[in-house]
Amino acid sequence: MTELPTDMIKLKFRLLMLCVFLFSKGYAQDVVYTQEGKKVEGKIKTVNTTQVLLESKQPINLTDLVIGIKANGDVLIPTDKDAACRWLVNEDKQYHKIITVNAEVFAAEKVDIINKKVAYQDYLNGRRFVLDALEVALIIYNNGIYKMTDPQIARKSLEKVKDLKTYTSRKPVSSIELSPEEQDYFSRRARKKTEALSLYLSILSDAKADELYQDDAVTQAIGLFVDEDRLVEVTSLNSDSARYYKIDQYLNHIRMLPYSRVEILWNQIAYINQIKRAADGNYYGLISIEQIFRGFNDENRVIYEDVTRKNLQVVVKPYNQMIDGKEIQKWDVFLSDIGVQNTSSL
Amino acid sequence: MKLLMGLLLMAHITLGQNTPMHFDDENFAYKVKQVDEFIERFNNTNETLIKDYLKDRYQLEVSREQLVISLFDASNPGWNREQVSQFLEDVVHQKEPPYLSFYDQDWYAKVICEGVYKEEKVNFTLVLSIKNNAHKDAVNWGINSMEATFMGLSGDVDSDIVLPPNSHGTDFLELKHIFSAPQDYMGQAGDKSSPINKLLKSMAKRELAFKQVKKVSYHFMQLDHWIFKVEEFDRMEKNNGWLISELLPAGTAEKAKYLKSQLFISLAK
Repeated sequence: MTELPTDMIKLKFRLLMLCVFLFSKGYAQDVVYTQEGKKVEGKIKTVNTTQVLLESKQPINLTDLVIGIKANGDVLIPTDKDAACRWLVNEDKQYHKIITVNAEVFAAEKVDIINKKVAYQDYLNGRRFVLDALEVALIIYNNGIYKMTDPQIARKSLEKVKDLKTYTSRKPVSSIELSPEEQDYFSRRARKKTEALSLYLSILSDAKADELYQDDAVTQAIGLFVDEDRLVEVTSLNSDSARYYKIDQYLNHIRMLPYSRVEILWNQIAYINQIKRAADGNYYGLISIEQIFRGFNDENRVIYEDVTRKNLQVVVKPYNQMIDGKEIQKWDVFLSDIGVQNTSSL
Repeated sequence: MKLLMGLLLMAHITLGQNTPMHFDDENFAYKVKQVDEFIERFNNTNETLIKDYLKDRYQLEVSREQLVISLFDASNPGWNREQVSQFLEDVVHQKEPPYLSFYDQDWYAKVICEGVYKEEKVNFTLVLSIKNNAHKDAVNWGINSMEATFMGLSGDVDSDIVLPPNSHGTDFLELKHIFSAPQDYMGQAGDKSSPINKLLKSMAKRELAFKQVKKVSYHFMQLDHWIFKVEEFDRMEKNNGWLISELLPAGTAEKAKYLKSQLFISLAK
């Protein structure tokens, strides 16, 4: 029988370890891994020059220490220097951290582990990336839960890490189409923004809503758009002429509708095309949705009802955000021109 | 013929053509909502909304043949059945069946615009196609040709004016932005003799005002031996949205003729 090459055996072993560790949850409690392969759970009280002292547990010699992880995400690793060990303090607890075998530290806003892939949204640029699970040494979630493939690999990687707040950011590959993960992420963002717009439209058309509240809804709704010059084209099956509104005009038009309140019900289905890159560097997509629009009178009776179809252009583009005094470029979805078709009264 | 009748019947049952519907998810799921979705269905792409919907709701798998049939306007009684049958043979049953791509050059959007020229209501036509920018890894819509008979303009357009690649979703509403500020685009509209430059100049002089896009149709010419036209059918039926309205058998000569007569293009770009 042909023997597997050593590298293949190692790879198989790592994949097995992946199943054991990466896809199992580490609880948010202090834990220490030893050279003997033991996992010791117990509150880490202190670390002196020779031992890790744990509550109600035997001390662990630093020579036996592979890695310790506290419930708050702080990581303890041994060093070759006099200090014998050092803490990597998990300061920015608002982000998940992904530490790779190449000692990169990614700050992530969202992490999904699917089919031995780790997909995450990079906090620094807002883009979605996918890592092979074999690239990942340790994930520390913002709630203190951690996941890792192999404590020895995590330790080796962390030895090269200066701290847990100096982040690496990968540059997205420039291509006409977004990656499937990015497409999925930005599609969901686009859907959320269209739902937010719908909510603001409901507020604007509610005659009983407070005026200041409605003013705020106008501001918030305009903020969903890529700029204030975007147009809404309203067409109707019953008319040959289209009506055009700038977005602020459209919002005020909705505000003036003669209904006591309106109800906008969403169709469960939305179609989003493949988002594509244009020569200006931004990505452009299209979301098709259908809604039922109902207008009520003072007695809460429906006095108008129709099906409204909307095609909304969306733009995925970078924007700058100041965080901790630093200007950081992130990507998000913004709404653009909208085609609204009032199709038929129900 | 028998085969075609059978297929049409099958499509009628499984894809529910010509069945009047009230508003619900199903009608919207069936609707070919964007030309992108038309291409997805034509190609029988793995993850398409309609296939996922039929699978989830009815545990139903559909074939490419059924999907392609469902893309024909079923309200048209004048289909030449032999032609449709031959088209299906060519598209579905070949060893290496052809597929459409959004990024292809050989499909065109014909946009009929309504305007007012010297106080007279007029129509003018712009023909757009996909412009791939390999250098920037990017794609846009660009203006290929135009016709404005009231100004004696017709023919190819050499212009750097581009529109975002999603412009088709709002029937090229972007044109409203362009024609609202024509002077901003004249520098990108080719030399002074270019028809689009003359059109923009007339708008800048307030002789011509753009009112709205009246109609959009798509002309697919990338399949060997065929040209087909896609138009939007908005009706409360399952067979609705962007559908094939015309099918023409066409060799190279017929295609060149079609480009010239229907799309005002003298040379395929």
